[in-house]
Amino acid sequence: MPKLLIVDDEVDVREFSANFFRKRGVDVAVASGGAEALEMIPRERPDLCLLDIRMQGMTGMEVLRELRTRNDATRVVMVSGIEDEGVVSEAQSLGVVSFIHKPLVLDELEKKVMKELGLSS
Amino acid sequence: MTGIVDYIIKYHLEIYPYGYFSALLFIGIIAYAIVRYRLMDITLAFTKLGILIVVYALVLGIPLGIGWRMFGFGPWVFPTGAAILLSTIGPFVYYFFEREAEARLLWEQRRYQKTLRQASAGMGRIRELDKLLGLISFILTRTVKIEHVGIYMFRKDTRTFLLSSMRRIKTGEWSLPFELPGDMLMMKAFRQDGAPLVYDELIHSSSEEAPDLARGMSGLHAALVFPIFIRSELMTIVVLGPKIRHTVYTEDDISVFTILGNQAALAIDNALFYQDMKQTQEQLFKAEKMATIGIMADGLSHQINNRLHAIGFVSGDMEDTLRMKRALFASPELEDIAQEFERGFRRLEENVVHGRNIVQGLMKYTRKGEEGEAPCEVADVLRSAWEMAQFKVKADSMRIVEDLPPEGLRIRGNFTQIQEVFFNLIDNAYDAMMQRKDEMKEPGFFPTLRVHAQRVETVVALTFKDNGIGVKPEDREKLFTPFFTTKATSRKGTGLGLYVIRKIVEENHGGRIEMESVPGEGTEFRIILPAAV
Repeated sequence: MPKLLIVDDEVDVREFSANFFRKRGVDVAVASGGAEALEMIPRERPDLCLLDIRMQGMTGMEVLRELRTRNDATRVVMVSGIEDEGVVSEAQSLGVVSFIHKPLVLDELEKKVMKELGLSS
Repeated sequence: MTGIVDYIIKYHLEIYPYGYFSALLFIGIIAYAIVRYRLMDITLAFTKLGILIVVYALVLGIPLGIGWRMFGFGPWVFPTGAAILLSTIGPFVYYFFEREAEARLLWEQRRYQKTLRQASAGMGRIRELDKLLGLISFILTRTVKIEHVGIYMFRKDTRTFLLSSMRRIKTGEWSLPFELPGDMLMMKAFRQDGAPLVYDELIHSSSEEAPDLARGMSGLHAALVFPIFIRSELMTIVVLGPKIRHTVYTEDDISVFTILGNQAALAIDNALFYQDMKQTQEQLFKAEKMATIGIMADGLSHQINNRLHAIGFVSGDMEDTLRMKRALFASPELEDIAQEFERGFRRLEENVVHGRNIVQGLMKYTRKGEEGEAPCEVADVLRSAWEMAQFKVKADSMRIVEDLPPEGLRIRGNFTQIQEVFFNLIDNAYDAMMQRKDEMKEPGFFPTLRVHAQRVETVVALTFKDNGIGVKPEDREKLFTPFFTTKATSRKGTGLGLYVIRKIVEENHGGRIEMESVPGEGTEFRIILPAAV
């Protein structure tokens, strides 16, 4: 079963997005912040990580940078709010799979994630 | 009184020889009282009488006495006497006629003076520039009775003179130009010697510039143009048409204008200062508000976006679950509930999308577009804006009447942004016209947006005039502030349209946007954008 890690500091988002993908036969793990995500990724080895950029404490960008300095090539989809372009281009240079803009359209998210997990319906 | 003293005689009671004795007694008493108690200035009267007798004894006596001695009494006495008598009356007659003539000849000047007094009192009281200029042109037409008056005010940003007030008594087919270039020959002449220009003098003048100046004046149908300087800067020019009676302008007229001009300068300066102060205050207030919004916008939009994101997720997931498990709702009652839930979730998601549009709209347009500036054909931009509007506007529910120059007209600017401006104006006009249609239900009403564009010097002047519901006076000021919407439901408008338009026109393109509206009749937007060279 493909594994998805959802990193978001919003409990509603964590809960309902996890539910959404579980219904589609995805093994979902959740992390409520950057530090927790960095701790979980080596253990859980997710196939894909949905990483929110703006979070309390450690930001998504810091998580991404830390992963890459650890030579961890985990595939990441960045979930961005209305960020400036500097962040986007830096994230791209650090090799992210794609961007999802908040607030997202569920269909779009579904398509993107399922494709990356090889579960295209 | 006399009744008391002579009643005895009136009743025919003869008391001979004392018939009038009471009258004589009365006179005696009065005379005694006057002298004794100084009831009249009797000495003065005596002195005057004495002087008169002495002077006349000399004036009449000397020539008559000489004549008498030389010729004896003869016919010469009568003409000589008459001559002496008339020459005595002469000065009084002369004085009388002089006064009459003066009153008649200087009547014009008196009237001028009166008007000037009234004008200076009136002008000092008025603080709004528009009203002040209106008063000045009224005074001018009334005092001197001229066919038309136009007042042009200097605009620092465009360096041109704009027609700010106009009054016409005689109508004709021409009209005064809306704008005069700041470097016109006329302005140069004013700046050089500050004197008014008189058309009749110019056509008879032999100076080198005179023919060109005269041509400039006849373009304004002007007989006289005079400058008003404020702190030695040419701020205003006043264009006067010919007098109604077609007489020439006199020295008096011109000196009146000079005085009036000086008074007007003070008043205009005053009004400008007042206007400036009001504007600065408004700007400060606005800037403060915008700064606060700017600081908050980033954090606020992030926060709102996150809420929307969460709501979208919760609602979307529930709708998804409901859809997946549809087979479980076999009974009609449960099916009804499921449908209601689904509808509710979808409504939530629609709201999320609308909220996102607001946040994106704000962020998108407060930033400047990336494309460069290029010449854009007005007709092309208008067409593509109209196409954009088709998503919402049904093509046959309104019409656009274009009045564009057939040879084409190009704006220097960013195509996407100007298209956004046009789109917003069409969109707003559509909503306003639909509101009028729905609310006023007038027979024969058809939503019509008139678009007019023309080149004026270095700019393109556009007007978008709709026949919609109009804007209430109390909403006018707020119209361009972000998040203000008059549209029936907040769902219809984000409240960002006009705010964005103004930013695009004024900040990104250095243009100008103004609005005028009559509630129940329609709204007109006037836009000035730079013309492509």
